[in-house]
Amino acid sequence: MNRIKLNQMIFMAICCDLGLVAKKVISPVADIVTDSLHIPGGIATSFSLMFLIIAASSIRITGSATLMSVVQSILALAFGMVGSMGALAPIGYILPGLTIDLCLFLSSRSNPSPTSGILPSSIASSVCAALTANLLVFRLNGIVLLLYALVSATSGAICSLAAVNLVERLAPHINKSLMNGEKQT
Amino acid sequence: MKKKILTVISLLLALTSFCGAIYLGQRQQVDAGSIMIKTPSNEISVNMNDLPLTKVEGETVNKKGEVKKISAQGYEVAYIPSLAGADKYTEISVYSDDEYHADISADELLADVNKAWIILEEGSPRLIVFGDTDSKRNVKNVVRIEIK
Repeated sequence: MNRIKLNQMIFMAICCDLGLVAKKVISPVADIVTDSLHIPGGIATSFSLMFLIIAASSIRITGSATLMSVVQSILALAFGMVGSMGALAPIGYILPGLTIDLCLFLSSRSNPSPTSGILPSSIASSVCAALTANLLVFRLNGIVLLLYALVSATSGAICSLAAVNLVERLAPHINKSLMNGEKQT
Repeated sequence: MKKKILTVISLLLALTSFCGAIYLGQRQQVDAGSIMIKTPSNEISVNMNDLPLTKVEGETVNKKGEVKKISAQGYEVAYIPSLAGADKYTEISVYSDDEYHADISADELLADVNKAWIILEEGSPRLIVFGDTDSKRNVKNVVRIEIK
């Protein structure tokens, strides 16, 4: 925790909250697409995970996405925003967070740029969230499961485009210290 | 980087469109208010309005513990296998329009024939299972019932 600066923690908290409410905001639009495809979901979750990825990519501290996802799961349980998963909702939040951290860690070893790893982490975490929801709630199989996973992956990839643009603009400012303006290298 | 992302998006969109076309092409269209009943050897379409519906009254509980009163016209799920000529079965799976499904075992229906009902809710068939601690099995927009 000593490695994380105050402004980074504030940014993580903001992204955590945005990720939590983003699903509710985007759901009406996402439902138009999923209803037309006759699948139970797969788009709104990718949008909410985008905020975790923005924060984790900007801050670049291993474990930050998992930390945010744990906080999100606690808040979701506290506010009753657990959806169909009920008490198992934390699994649906934490597993994608772990996936984001894993992808960002692996990508940073080959390319230290803040935007490296956003695409694979977005796709992987979206598919992870979809498969977790399927295991816990929907229990789809066959071609409908494949379509559901592909829709999640596609929406994850589209969200990664927005995430890259935002991280490029935000990362230099987030990693400045509030006290003396020094940049984190 | 952005070029790479756009390439990946294009590929995924193409795959999704292809998969979606196959899935939507093989889906069986069901008339409004009708349910497809499938057994291992038979398949029939039944319109809810053609069935002898009876009054269903009871209470269900959702995942938040909130109680909802049910008062509607419905048909017992226990009698649905006989519509398709199925004498013996172990499980009934009720599918929604988006392939979400709920399973009811033969033992549950044997113990209580009034356990599960298909009711008409705003003209659309819905599964109601009494006695559950959440409403996970109360499937909306029922389009298909599989007898296993």
